[in-house]
Amino acid sequence: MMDRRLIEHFDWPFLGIALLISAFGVITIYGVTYASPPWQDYVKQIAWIGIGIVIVAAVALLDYRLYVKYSLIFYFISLGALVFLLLFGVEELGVRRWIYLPVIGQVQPSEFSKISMILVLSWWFSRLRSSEPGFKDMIVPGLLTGVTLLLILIQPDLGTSLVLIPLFATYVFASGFSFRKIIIVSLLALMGAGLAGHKVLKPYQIKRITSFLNPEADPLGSGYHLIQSKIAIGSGGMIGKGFKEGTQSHLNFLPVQDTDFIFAVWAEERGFIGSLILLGLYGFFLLRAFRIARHARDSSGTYLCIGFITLVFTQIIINIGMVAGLMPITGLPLPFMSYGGTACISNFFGVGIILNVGMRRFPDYKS
Amino acid sequence: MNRRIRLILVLGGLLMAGICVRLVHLQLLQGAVYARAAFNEHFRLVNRQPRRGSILDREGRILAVSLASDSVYADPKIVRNPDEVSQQLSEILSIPVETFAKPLAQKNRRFCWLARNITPSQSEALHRLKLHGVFFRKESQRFYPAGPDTAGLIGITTIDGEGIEGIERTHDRSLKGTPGMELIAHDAFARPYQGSALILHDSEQGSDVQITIDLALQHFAAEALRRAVESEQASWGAAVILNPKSGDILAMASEPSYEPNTFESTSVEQRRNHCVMDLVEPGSTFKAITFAIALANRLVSPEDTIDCQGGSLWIGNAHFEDWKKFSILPVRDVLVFSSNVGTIHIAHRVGGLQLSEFARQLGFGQDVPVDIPGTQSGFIRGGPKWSQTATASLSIGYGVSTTALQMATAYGIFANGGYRISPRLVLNEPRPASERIIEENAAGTLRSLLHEVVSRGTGHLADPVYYTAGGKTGTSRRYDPARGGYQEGAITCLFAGFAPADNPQIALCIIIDNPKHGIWASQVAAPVFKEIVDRSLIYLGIPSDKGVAV
Repeated sequence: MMDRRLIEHFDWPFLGIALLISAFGVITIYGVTYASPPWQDYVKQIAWIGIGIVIVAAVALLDYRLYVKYSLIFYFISLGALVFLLLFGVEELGVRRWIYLPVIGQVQPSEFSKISMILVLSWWFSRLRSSEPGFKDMIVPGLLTGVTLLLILIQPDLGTSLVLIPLFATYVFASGFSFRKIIIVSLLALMGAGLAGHKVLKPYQIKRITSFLNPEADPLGSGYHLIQSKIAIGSGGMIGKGFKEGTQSHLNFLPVQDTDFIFAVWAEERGFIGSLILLGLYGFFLLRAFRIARHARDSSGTYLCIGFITLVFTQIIINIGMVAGLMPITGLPLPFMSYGGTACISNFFGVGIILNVGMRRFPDYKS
Repeated sequence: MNRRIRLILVLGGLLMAGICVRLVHLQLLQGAVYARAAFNEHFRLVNRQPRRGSILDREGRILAVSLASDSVYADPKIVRNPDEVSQQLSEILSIPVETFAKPLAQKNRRFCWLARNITPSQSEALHRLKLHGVFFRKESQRFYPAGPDTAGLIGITTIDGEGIEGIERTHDRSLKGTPGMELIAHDAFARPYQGSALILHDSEQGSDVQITIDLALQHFAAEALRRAVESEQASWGAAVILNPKSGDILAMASEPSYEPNTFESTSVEQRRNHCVMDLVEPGSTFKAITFAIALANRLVSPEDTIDCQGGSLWIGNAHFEDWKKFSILPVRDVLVFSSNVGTIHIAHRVGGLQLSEFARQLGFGQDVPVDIPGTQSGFIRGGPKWSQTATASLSIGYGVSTTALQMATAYGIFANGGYRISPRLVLNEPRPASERIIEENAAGTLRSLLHEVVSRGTGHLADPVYYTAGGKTGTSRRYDPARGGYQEGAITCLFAGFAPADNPQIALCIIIDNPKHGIWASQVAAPVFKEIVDRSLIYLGIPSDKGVAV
């Protein structure tokens, strides 16, 4: 029989916030796509959220330690998917990001790689027993992260691969490596990235970075999206233009409005107040997760929470940062808001894991 | 670990705060700037072109009209299957497929014209296909029902409705109307957002222009002229019909003409209105002017005699010859048989200065007050000093240049009894007050002499079947402006006159330049006059004055 305390410790507000943000996402997707087909996008998104809730339940059911225990299997499956994509993936618009599966449809393996990375890093770092870990303790997780990062980078998907760096850094930082070691490794990594950058980055990726630095130099080219996005957000003002009234989005000045640039639509239609509400919800969501992380009954639970917090937070910062013109445009969805099935599932998977850790935080829990 | 986690929390909080600061900057501090940028980006001011006014003849018949038409354009970026679309367009519009394939293949373009002003049935067929990325725009197309008959006079507009020739050009402003101004919201692909137009001020319809031309007479003139120019392989021809009482221009035909409804392949040279843009030396048609002043000043009377010296006269080293060895001729026959020598003797009684001043009063060398682009005012020798040679040359129509319109005007003055007339092309324009410039009796005498030219003299081939007429031939050596001298063996033929002889209703001037077969105006230009007079007067319902019931 299931322990009653599992239900008692289920963090309903945490799930509620995730669902509320998802609902905002659905409304915004409806607002920008209802006029022109495929209008059913928002219906699909609702379906994905439904599947997400099922996944939350399924993930929460099994003890999180099981996921950690078998994390290497998850890791190699997702690595296999990335390699498969590289070898057999269909190139669309110059990138290979999706695998087409029967019934399920289009799947983005890199989304699942993020989860498997969290599982495998949590597994590795929770096994560290030394209070003063050395350089050699970074080698295995570094390799695990580096291989995934490279495989995603050459798809190419700069945004998703970049997310892995703060993820890895957070684990290293949280696991108590000395600041001196962290600085040395960071400098080495920076130099390596600088050298590799020229070889690996595609011209359009370099152009995005340079156009970020000076968008007005090429207003109709690479800088266009950035300028349009800033205009959309800025013209929203204090209270916004109202639902479905966003001129920049509805008149198609904004690119990919239901995915990467969904925050610009939100900010244009809901204004500064709406933006603050959304950021506040994200903050509340993350703080709630932090609470669970702190009260986890073992370090692998804490690491799992920290991993997902970092993942969600990094995506929020990079997505809003790029939409608001603080960062180069890299193409990364806004968690729970952006349209997209795989991202939705991986986000709710994370929610499930965190809830899982929270549910099993009482000391005498036996699996 | 907890201390490290708290540090992560602080770092995360700082990043979040950074985002908030950025939003304060974008949405609150710079909000107005970006709102203006958004406005500028999706609103644009659009000129709404009103319908262009029509050009009507004096009876209200349409000479030029704007018809609504569809033009079709594409957004190549969103056209699916450009090859198939090109094929379909090509079949419906009967335009080679390559015309469409190339622009449609340019995927980075957002706009290209596919075809302007397509026919209603083509438009319907294309609408039925519902091609993705192919759009229609309502435009208007200029249509000239009379085609080449009126082309040289009416002119044309560009495909964008700008008058570039003829009356289309001179009356462009009133025909065009005032464009309206609308504020239109449009999307990123510059496509107007439905129902978003805000009318700032309405457009004002272009006004119609009614001209003095009578389409029927224009057609008679054009047809007769065309036949003559073609059979003579002439360089060009011009025919002007005036109402001698009012000065209204009833017809102004110019050949070779062009098809104004498909003018794209014509050159500016082909579109010339020869009636006002080309100058010729009038030759013997000018003798009537010499006679007019001589009669008005009572220096000669028709019954006097003049010694034509066997048709040969030397003045200094200039030699003037007649076409026939005339000896002594009555003054009337000097004109009737067109003796150069006789006319020169009369001119010497008048004096060069007098003759020149009188010709100016008739309009030679003067600006012509009609609104046709490129209208020439011609040249006439002036100044106080006149040699015998200069006077002699002028009296027989050299040292003076004229357009067909100017010559028709001069004969119109003879026809109306001596009143100055000012040619008028636009019907509602005011007429200047008329003033007499030739004494009535002199004008009457001249008219009867000119009638004799037609009835028994050199102009007998101009004698209409149903009407009496007066007029004068003129065969001048062709001046070649390109070479700056007379062209060997080339001539310009003129015939100027009026009909009916006693109570003239129309005054005309016909010019056929550089005919290749005929060598006298009496053969080349006179028959054109005859045909136009008969057809015009019958059409106008003028009773025959030759006892023929019409």
